[in-house]
Amino acid sequence: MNASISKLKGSACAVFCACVLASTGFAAGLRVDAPSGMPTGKTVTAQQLWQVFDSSLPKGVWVSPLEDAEYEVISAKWLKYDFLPALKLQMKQLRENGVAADGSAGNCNGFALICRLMFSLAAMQAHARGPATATVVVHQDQAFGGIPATKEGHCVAFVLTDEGPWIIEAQSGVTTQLSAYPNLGSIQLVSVH
Amino acid sequence: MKTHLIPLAGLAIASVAFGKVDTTQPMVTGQGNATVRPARVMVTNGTADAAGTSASADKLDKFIVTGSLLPKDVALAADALVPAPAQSGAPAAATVALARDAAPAKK
Repeated sequence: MNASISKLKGSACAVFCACVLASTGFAAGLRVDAPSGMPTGKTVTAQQLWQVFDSSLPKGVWVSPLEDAEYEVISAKWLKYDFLPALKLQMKQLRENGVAADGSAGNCNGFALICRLMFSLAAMQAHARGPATATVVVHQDQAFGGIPATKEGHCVAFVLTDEGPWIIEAQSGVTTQLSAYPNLGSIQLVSVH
Repeated sequence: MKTHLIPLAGLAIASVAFGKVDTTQPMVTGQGNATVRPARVMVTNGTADAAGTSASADKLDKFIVTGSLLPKDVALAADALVPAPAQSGAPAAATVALARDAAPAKK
């Protein structure tokens, strides 16, 4: 009899613990993974990065202060073969977690920041300088990277590669050279930090 | 290798050709350092203003990112092309947990 009561108590305790864990969301949270092996050694000064913006963007685009003295130029080869597959997988996993929603943190701005976070994590592991990346606020006049021409504010990522400046639509992993970006003329703001 | 060197060489030349700016201060392309600060706030998840447009570059009081998401059918098609993690061959180098850590494994 005592053994049965003890067993019942044990079962009740287990159920209680399970309920508490479930109610507190003690499950795996969202994770961001970055690819390894980022090549290092090619850098630009803050002045040179500014010159990239000044010479490749339309006039009148606001550029945030550049707080670092030097920035790491990203290898285009590593970007294509290591970073972009990891980015696409990351975005897939975030979508599977149901985070994408208008009017929430899971919007275009949030995804562009995740893309930049992945660059930063990879650079940290490689003991590199801060990556020459930025968040770009743009008026989405033209469709690009799977996002239709919404005619509203949008956010994409910028990266300076050793093949020149590129734009990444973070949500789809589609890239283009900045000079070929269809919304180049409607970029409004570049935020590096 | 040549293609890798050209953009960097271009940057070096450009830095000599252009006047220097204080990169620790806000800048505007074509003008150099901004004489007035752009935005006190950067509005995200906002809605378009009464005219249905986002803030323009001429009206430098705020930048509105209304937020555009990948259409579901496009997202599904893109996700279908992504290999499973085990097949990607790219082990995670660094990870940041954005929420609570996973429960410890049962012994």
